Amino acid sequence: MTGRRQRWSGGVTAAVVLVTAGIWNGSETLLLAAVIPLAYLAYGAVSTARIPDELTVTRTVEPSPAPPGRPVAVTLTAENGSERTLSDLRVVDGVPADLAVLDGSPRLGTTLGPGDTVSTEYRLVARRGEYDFDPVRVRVRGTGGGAVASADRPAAGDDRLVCRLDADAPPLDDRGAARVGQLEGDDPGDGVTFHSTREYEAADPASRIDWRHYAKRGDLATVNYDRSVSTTAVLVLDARPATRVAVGPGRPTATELGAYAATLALTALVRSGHDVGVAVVGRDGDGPAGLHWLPPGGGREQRARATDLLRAASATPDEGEETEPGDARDDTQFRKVAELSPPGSQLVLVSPALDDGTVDAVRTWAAFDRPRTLLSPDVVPANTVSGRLEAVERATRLARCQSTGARTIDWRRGTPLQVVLAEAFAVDARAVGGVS
Amino acid sequence: MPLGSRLDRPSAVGEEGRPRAASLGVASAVVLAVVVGVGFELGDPAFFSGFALLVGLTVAGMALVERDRTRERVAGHLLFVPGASSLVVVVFTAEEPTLLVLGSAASLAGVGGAWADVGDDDSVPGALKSGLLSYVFGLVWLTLGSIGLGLALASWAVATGLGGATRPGWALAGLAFVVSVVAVCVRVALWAVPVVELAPVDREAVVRHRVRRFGRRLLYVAVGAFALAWVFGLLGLSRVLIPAGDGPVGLVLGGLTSRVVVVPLVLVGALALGVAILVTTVRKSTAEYDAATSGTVVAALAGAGYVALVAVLVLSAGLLPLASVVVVFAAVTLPLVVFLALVVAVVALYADVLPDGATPLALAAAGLVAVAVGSATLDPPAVLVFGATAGALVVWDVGTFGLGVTAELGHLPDTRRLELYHGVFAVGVGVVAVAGTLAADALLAPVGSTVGTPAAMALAAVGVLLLLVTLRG
Repeated sequence: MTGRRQRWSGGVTAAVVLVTAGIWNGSETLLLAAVIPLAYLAYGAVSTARIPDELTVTRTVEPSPAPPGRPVAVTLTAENGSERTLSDLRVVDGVPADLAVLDGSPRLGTTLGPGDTVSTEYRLVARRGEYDFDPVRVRVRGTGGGAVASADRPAAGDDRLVCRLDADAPPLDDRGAARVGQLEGDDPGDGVTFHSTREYEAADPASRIDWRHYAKRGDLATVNYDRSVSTTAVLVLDARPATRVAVGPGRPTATELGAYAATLALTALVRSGHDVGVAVVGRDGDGPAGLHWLPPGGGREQRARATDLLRAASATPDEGEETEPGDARDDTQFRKVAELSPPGSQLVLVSPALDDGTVDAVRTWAAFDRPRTLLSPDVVPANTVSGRLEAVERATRLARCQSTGARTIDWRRGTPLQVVLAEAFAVDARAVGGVS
Repeated sequence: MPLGSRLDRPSAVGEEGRPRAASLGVASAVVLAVVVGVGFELGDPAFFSGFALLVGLTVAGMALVERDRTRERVAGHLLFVPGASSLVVVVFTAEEPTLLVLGSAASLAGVGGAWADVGDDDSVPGALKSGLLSYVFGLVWLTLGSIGLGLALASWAVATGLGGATRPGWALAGLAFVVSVVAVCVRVALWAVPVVELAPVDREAVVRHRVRRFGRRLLYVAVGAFALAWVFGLLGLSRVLIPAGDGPVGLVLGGLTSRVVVVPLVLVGALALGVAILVTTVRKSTAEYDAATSGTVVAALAGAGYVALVAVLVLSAGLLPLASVVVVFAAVTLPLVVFLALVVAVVALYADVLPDGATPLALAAAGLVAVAVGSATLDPPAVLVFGATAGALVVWDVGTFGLGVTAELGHLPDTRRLELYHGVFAVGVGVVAVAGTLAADALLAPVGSTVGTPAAMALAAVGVLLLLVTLRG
C-alpha cells in the first residue's frame, strides 16, 4: 500500500506570506524567497517509496514455552537484502494484544543500507496460553518523507509464544527418586547424612561400623544416618474471583501465578517421593462441597492429573460460573479441604492473600492441627497509593497467618519461583506428625 | 541528545506531541545559525543575547507551571509572567526593527517550547489560567500590602504623636483607642490560635475555661477603652481637661502617653494580628488540600513573589516617586499584554489555526519567516532573507518529521540515524534552494527596475501561488 502525506502546509503558508510581504513592500527579494518553499514541495513530490522484496524480517522468542509471569525475550531483526538504501524504514512487531511489553520496544526506525541489518529486543510477560504474533508492519518513506509505502510482512522464525504451567518443571523418572522422601526425620535411619553413633549390635552391617572410633577406643560403634521420610501434602489453589486480578494489563493473574507455583511445587514434591493431592477453591467442581479435588498420590500419572486440574482451574471461568466474592461456599470449601486431607498431611495454600478469606482458611486449618504453609504470589502494584495501601493490608494478612503457626512465603515479583519453593518446602520433618 | 536534557519527561510509548531529540537538535541549530547571522548582519553578533535569556525564562516558566510539585510550580509562575513581561519590553523597545527582533524571539521561543513540550492545547490554556490567577493574587497582595503599609504608618504616627499632644483629653483619647485596638487584635489572635487543641488532654477543660474568660475580659477592655476614648475625646473638645502643666497629673499623663508605653502596646497588637493571619493561612491551606487548593496556594505564593519583585524594583529605583509609579504601572499592565497574546494563541489553537502538537515548531518557523520579512526592510544581503526562509522550511520539515517518528514509534527506539539522515537532506535542499535563488537574484539584478514594477511582481506572485497549488496536489 503506497500513499503520499501532506507535510507542507507550513511551507505553503510561508510562501503566501512571503509573496504578500513582497508585494506589500515592493521587494523582489521577498518574492524570490517565496520560491524556496517550492523547492521543498518539489523535493517531497518527486521522491518515491517502495518496499523491496528483499527486505526480510526475522523473529526469535526465547524461552518458549515459558511459565506464567516469566519475562520472554523477543528479538526482531530486519535485513535489507536489496541494492538500495532505505532512507526511512520503520518496523513494528505484531505483539499479541493480550500480552504486555515489559521492557524495550517492539518498534524500530532507521536508515538501512544495502546488506545491513537492524534489530530490536523487547520483553513480554508470559501468560498462560498460546499467543500468535501478528504480521510485522513495515513502512518505508521516500527521502522527502512525503511518499509512504506500508505492508504487513510475515516474520521468519518464531511466530508464537507458548506459556504453560509446567514449562520449567523437570520431567519425572518412571519411579521418581530412588528412595522414599527427601525430608529428614528426628529418628536415625538409613540415609546418607551423619546423624549419631551408638553401641554396636551383632546384627549391624560391617559397612556401618565406625572404624575410627574403634581405632581410638578399642570398642565397636555403629554410625546412625538421618532417616529419609516422605510426607503427604495437599496443594490448595485459591481461585476465588478475588484472585483473578493482575498487577497490570497484559500480566498474568494471581490465579495463573498460583497455578504455576502449585504446578512447580507439585513436580518437586512428587519427584522427592511425597504423596501430593490438589484442591481448587473458588471454582465449581464436581468434588465434595463443589471442590476440584484430587486425592493425594504419587507418580507421573498423579502429576499429569494434577497439572490438568490446575490448568483448568486457572482458565478464565465460563459466564455463569462466577462466584460472588465472600460467598459462604468458599469457607465451606476451605473447611472441606482439611476434612478430606489425610491426618498429618501438610496443607499448602497458594493464594495472593488479597482478602481475609485467606486468613480465615489458615485459621480454620489450625483447628485441625495440620502443618500449614501459605505461598503467596505478590500481584499488588507498588507504584500507586491504593497499591501501597493494599500491600500493607496484604503484609498484615501474611503476619496474621504466621501468628496462627503457619509458614508464610511471600513470592515477590522478580524472584525466581524455584528459589522461593526451595525455601517453602525445606520443611522441618520434625514438625511433621504423620511421617511414613 | 545533541543539545542537553529536556525539560519534559516523556514516558509513554507512542505518545504524540513531542518531536524526537535529534530532529529538535537540527531545528535548534538552524534557528541559532539564522539568529546569529542576523546579529552579524546588524553588526552586533551578540544581538540575540538581549532577549534569549528572557525567552528561556519564559519557556521554562511555562513548562514548570504544569508540573505537580508546589515549589516547581511557584518557580514557574515567578519565571513565566515576569520573564514574558520583560520580553515584551525588550522586543518593543529594541533599536532594531520590531519584526526582526520579534521574529528572532519567536523562533527561539518555538524551539525552546518544543524542547520543553509546551505550546499545545493543554499547556497554553494552563499557562494562561495559572498566570491570570497568580496575577490576580499579585494585585490582591499589592492592594492589601498598600493598605497594611498605610495602617502601619498611621499607627506609628498615632503612637509617636500621642506624647506630643498639647491637650491631655486628646492624648488620653488616643491612648484609650490604642488600648481598644490592641485588645481586639489579641482577641482575634486568641480566636485564631488553637490554644485549646494544643493543650494536654487532661487540662483541656481548664484551658478552655481560661481562654473563654480571658477572651471575655479582652472584649470588655476593648469596649471600655473605646468608650473611654469617646469620653476623653469629648472632654478634650469641651476643654474640660486643661493642660496639666508640670504637676503630678501632668507627669502621670505624660508617662501614660509616652512612647515607652504606647509603642510596645502597638507592637503587641501588630504581633497578635500577624500571628492570627499566619495561623489562619496555614490552617486554611492545609485543610482539605486537593488539586484546586494546591493551584490556589501556588498562585497566592507566586502573587506574593510578584509583589516582592516589584518592591525590589521600586527600592532599586531609589524610591523616587515617578520611577516607582512607572515600575508599578509596568508591573500591572505588561502582564496584560502577555495574557492578551496567550488568549490569541488559545483562540488560534481551538480554531485549529495553529497545528496542535506542532505549535512550537510552527512558532519557530513563523519567527524565521518574520525575520526574513523584517530583514527585507533593512536592505540586507539577499542571503539573509533566503537563509531565514530556508531555515524556516528546515525547522518545519525536521520538526514535523520528528513528530511523526514519535507518533509512530514512541520514545523508546533509537531513531537518531533516521532523523539525522532526514535532517541532512532537509538542510541540503535548503542550501541548494538558497544557492539557486541567489543565482536568480544575481541574474535579475541588472533588470531589477523592470522586475520591481507592480505588474511584474503581481505576475510573479500569481505564478508562485499557481505552482504551490499544483505541487501541493
